[in-house]
Amino acid sequence: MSELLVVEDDFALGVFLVQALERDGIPFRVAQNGELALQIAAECWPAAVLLDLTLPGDLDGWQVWDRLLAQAGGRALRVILFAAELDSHDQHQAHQREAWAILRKPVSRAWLVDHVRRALAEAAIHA
Amino acid sequence: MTIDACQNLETILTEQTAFLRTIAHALRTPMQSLQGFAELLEPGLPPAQVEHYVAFIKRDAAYLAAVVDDLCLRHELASGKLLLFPTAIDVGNLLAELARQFEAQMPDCVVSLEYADDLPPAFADPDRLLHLLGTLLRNAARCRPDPDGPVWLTMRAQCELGDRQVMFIVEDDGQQVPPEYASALFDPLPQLPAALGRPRLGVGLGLYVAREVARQMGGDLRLAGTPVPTDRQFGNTFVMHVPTFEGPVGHV
Repeated sequence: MSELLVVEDDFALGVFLVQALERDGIPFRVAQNGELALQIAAECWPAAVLLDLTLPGDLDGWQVWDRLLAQAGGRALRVILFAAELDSHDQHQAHQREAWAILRKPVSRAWLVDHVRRALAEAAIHA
Repeated sequence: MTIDACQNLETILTEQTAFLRTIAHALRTPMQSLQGFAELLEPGLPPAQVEHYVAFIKRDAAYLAAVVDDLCLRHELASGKLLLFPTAIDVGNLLAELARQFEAQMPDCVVSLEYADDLPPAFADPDRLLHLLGTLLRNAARCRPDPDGPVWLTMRAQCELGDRQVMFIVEDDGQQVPPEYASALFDPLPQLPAALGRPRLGVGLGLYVAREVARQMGGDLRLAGTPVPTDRQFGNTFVMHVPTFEGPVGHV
């Protein structure tokens, strides 16, 4: 089944996302850092990625995004950018990478889940 | 404008941009957590789950307040406008209040206090001292190996003969800070290697502010240079001290 890949390092936000996504019956996997996100994507290509920018370890969100693009190999990459520090330059970069959506924290649970649902629905149509 | 002045200006602007990004991240991330958990609180939830969500809300609200306090203190330190109102403080009363405040903010934390009954009063600004000691406890709580598990913290206060200083000691379970980074830890927005494994401590101002304010109160804050056994990779000890007061004890 097509899954959402959640890349979020903040513990409290991770708990919130797990609760919110489970409550809405959305299949997902969580990576707390960039390396783990790439590993999960290599095992099973995600239908969409909910991506934070500030991550611990050697890879930040942009680098994770670029590596996912590099390993996409013709597969669609739907990135929902979910970040706290988004200035105009970041938004420009996100648009250049063809972000599926850009969400600046904080957003409502409904807004977040709605974007995730639509991204997964689009993936299901093209599957 | 000379080339040097232009370069300096560019450096300042770059630093300001980085600082603003850090602040935005430090504020917006817990805001998302607050909003998210508040929205998850729906009628009919089991009490234990409600308690779990409320704990996150309390923790992040306290964290946000601390970030704002640190930003204000940093501004006052930088502009030389920080005013302190030192008074004689009964250490036992101060620590009891610290534990009450902290446990209200962090419901999954228990603070045990260790101090001798005959400690002399400290001489410091009680409001600021509570904030600084709260910073040390918050940092220690966030360094716990299991971020969702309960945490027992110990705040020790002791007075070393002859030095006329009350020492407040907090130990954490975080990855040990190598000696070469012990000093950088107290820089504003410290640049620490990711491999160090310490959680991102908010906006990165807490220890800087705590040390500077402690120094202005006639004390200091340091990372204790404990001998490191080769098999021990976790645990840091922070020691803050402030002067003692030799006179009648006031109220906290």
